[in-house]
Amino acid sequence: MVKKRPSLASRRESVIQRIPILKIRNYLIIPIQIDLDDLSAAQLQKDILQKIDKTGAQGVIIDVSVVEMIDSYLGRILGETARMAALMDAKVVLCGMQPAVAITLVELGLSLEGVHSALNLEGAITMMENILGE
Amino acid sequence: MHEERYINSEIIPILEERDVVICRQACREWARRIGFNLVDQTRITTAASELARNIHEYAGAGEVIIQEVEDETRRGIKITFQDQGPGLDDVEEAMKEGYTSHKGMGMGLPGSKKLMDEFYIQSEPEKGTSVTIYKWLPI
Amino acid sequence: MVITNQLEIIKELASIGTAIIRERTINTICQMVAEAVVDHTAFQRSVVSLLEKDNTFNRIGFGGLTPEQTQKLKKIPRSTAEEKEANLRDEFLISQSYYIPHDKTQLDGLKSEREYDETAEWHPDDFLFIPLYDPAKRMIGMISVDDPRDGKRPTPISLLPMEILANLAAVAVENINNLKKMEDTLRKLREQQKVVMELSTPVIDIWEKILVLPLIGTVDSVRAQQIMENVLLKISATESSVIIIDITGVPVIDTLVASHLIKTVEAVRLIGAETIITGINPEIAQTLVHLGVDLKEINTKANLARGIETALKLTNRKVEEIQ
Ligand SMILES: Nc1ncnc2c1ncn2[C@@H]1O[C@H](COP(=O)(O)OP(=O)(O)OP(=O)(O)O)[C@@H](O)[C@H]1O
Ligand SMILES: [Mg+2]
Repeated sequence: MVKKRPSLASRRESVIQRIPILKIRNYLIIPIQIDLDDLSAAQLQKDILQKIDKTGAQGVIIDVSVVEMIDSYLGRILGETARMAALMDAKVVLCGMQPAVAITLVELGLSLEGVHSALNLEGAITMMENILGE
Repeated sequence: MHEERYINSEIIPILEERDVVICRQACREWARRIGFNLVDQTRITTAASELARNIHEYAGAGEVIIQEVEDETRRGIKITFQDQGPGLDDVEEAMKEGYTSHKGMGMGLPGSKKLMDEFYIQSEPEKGTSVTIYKWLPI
Repeated sequence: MVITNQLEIIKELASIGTAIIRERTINTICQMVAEAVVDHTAFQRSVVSLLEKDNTFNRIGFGGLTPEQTQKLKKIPRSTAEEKEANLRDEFLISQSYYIPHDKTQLDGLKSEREYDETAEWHPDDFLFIPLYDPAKRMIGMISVDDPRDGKRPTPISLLPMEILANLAAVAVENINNLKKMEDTLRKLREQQKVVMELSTPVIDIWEKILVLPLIGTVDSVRAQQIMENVLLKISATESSVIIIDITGVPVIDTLVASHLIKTVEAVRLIGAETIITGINPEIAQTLVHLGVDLKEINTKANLARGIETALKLTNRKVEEIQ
């Protein structure tokens, strides 16, 4: 049995999906709730950096608990964002990464060096308060 | 190579950015249905994302064929990524970790090879590229 | 004339037989046999049934029947092996088949809808069964047929094609059953293997948020991968923040295993926990350095006790002696 997906003509144009960025105290929280395509991931990086600039946030928590895979592109975006944010004096903490995603990521050859991680959002907030409290 | 039987298949065209997401989601769905555990599902999905992206990025368009496959002793998934794009001058070079002609990380091809059980690449300059990957259910 | 005709039929049956034996599902086999009977023998209706575990005959393949007739037939309660055997008496035996005239049986069947032809030898309520035997000569199923085109009673010669089909079907069914048995055994073996695997990588919950994995014996790359998965799943399930991997019991490590170990440490970090490795013996220390494995990122402690001490510190606790 061979199924063929409907041809593209019947599908809508690619649209960039925006992820909401929340601000709490002096840091940002970004829950990634959708399967990001490359353009939307790149947009997210821009949005985060701009938000840091506008709000003077000193930290960024990216919640990836519902993200089902991180490939080289999204991995690169996350790593870069952490380094770029650091240059702007903001720390990045990733939280909630699923075991399967972490295993795949390191097998792929990526380890997101320099990014802090927490088990869950609660842990990330504690970690952030600790980092910023020093 | 082994003698194979195909139980089911699906073809997904890669014509624009969004199709990379559609393709990897379809691969996960297939992997789940075939019976792979969560970690293998994620390995398969990630490899598919890398290879579908290469089609979109370097060839502009192509197609992905997902198949449930079995041979005498095993059952698994076979995914073929094919395009009629520019092809590769030096396949061996492209398979090296860190090699990129653009500004990628050169992780896609070697990385997806590591995530899968079998990996075959065929490419001819000006003709196109075809990458085939397999994952078998654990025995 | 008759004989050449028979030969032709037997040749055809042989090629059908090859197809039947290649088939991989029991249902298709029965269906193919039922259709072959109708296409290549005098009988216009056929049903292929197999003996199930509960000792009843399950009707599986149907030839020459309308869908309605098939439905009707499926509703008739399955006969049991005992009922059938009571009727399969030697007096009815022709060649290997049983021909049971209508006035000698209480068996229930689908009533023939055909007009009763007074001149024909075959009565619409007659029964003809061709048994399927396994190699031990136990009956595993049967073909039952009705409505001969020629209206004749069966003879050893006219039965021959059907008996060939019955034997082929029996072999095919037997093959599949053996395959299933083998697969079952294999599956059980795999399950046992999995249990052994899990036992050999026991991740222990020693304290709130602290896990210990005492590794014992040689680690190959299959086990190393299993270890990585177990460790990560356990951390995530228990929301632990530290895992101590004690390798006191591991005599040697090669590059592949070392690289798996490092991947595990990295993956643990990515999900938000920390790894402490304890019990690295001199040989392993030498190997790791000679292999150029970069251990600076890894938290190592001499022994399990010190590892636990560190883990408690990391989780904001400490051990004190009570005076
Ligand atoms: N389908 C293809 N058609 C033509 N060239 C390809 C194709 N796939 C890969 N290549 C070439 O092989 C190189 C290596 O590919 P690979 O996916 O490993 O890395 P990358 O795409 O450059 O970076 P990354 O995937 O890490 O973002 C690419 O830079 C590109 O030149
Ligand atoms: Mg790539």
